[in-house]
Amino acid sequence: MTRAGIFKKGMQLTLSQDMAYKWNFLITVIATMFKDFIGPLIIILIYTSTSGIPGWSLYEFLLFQGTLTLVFGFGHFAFVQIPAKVISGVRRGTFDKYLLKPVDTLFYLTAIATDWDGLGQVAVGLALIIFAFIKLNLAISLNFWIYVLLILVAFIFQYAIMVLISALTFLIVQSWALLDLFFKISDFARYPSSVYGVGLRFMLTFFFPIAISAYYPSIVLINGFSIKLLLEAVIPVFVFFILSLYVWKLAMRKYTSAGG
Amino acid sequence: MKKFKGLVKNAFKLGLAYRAHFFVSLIGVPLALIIYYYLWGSIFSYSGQSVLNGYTFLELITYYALSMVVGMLTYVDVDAWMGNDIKSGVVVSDFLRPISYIWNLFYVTCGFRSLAFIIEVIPTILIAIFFIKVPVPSILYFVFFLISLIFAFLLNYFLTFCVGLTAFWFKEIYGLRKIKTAIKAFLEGGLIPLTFFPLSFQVVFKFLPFQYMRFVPINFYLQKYTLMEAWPLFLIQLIWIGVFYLIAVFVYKKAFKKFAGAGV
Repeated sequence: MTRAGIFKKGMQLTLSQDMAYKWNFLITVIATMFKDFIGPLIIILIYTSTSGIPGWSLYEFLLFQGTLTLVFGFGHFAFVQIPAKVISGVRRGTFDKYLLKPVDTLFYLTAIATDWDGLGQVAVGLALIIFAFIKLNLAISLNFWIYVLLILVAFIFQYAIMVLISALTFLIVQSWALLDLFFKISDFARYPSSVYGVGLRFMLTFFFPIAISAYYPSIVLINGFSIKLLLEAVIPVFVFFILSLYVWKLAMRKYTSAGG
Repeated sequence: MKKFKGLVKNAFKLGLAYRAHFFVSLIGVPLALIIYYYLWGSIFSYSGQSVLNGYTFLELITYYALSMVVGMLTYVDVDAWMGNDIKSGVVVSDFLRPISYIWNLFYVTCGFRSLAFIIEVIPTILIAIFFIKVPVPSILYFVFFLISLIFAFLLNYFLTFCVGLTAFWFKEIYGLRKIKTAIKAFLEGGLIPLTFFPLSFQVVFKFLPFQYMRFVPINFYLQKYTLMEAWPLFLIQLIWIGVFYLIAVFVYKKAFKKFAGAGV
């Protein structure tokens, strides 16, 4: 079977799993979408009763939030089940079955990681982006295509994080705690890096480049870009990505040697 | 009382097994406070006002810290346990216990909350004090806060138990629980004080059970109510507790019959 074939099969499989309880699936999707509308609702409450967040008009902020929802929604849809499968697999001792497959383990895990609930979140993100895009009178210009490109880089960051968490499951602690920790830290991405102090902003760009999730794409779409800005947005993500693949390799080596 | 002690002790041990989680939720406290600090700092300075919708900057950050404390102390996830127990059929063994299902789970929850008090709430309070100059209420209002906190816990417990009971009919209630969590977080005032809503919404909220589980206890601490306003609030809390308790008992009886009838 080709790699694309495996991917397709994996997606079919997860779809039928998610559909096992149809009502629950439907309600879960609605719940996810509802949850993602709460963020914008709070922002509207803030903007109607205060002057808002400095440097961002209401619609600019909604664009920011839509981008964030899209990126995290895609992470939820495509990648979040990777660490989930690893954690429960290692706990139950069923992880070895992934190692027996005749394809690369990480590829196989990615192929079966689709979580269809995430589509609702992606839809909410897209809806918010389109709404804000129209309200802000933006055009499909070069800025827009750079915006799209940065969102793709943000997807890569989502993947890198999930791979890193999966790897750390072998190396540090076998629990959901790491995944929770990531979601806690990712709360920093909920607001533009510009509201934080210089030190924090530096961390969120270079050390844990989560500012790529919404901050960098949005300011490029709204204000335009410079080469320097793009480099500081993109390079840390790729460094992070390579690092996480390396840690995964390390973890795999450790796991197989312990089992053999 | 002995039964109570045993169940609480058991829950305590169970909770310790998940200490990595407690650790993470503890890291989350300063992280969240930092985010709120910067976010609201920028909003306050941009507005140029010292009071927004009834809260000073300091009160608002305290509001969020208290929201975490109230959330930790009143956290109830019996609906998740019930969902699992009912789906797997383990619930049958609970029918056989000498203590009713509703109170059994209640005591276990109390155990978890007392553990949370020691390893989550106390550190959270210390972190909050470290970050900001937390205002301290008068003794009377602190007592009010504690009373409304206990009521909030009871209300939360019975409401969550009712949600859990739906598993007898729906089998898988993960989605329903998710909706409940989202609605609650929003309407309890856990994400933003309810005074930021338009007035007409605030009137409607008075007639819903949600604000009595978080917003009201927090505002007792912040002394936002007069003495005249206090008593009706307690009364409403009690009424909602009664309502959900009765629903829980009634629906549980129905569910028990249905379940027993299915051949178990």
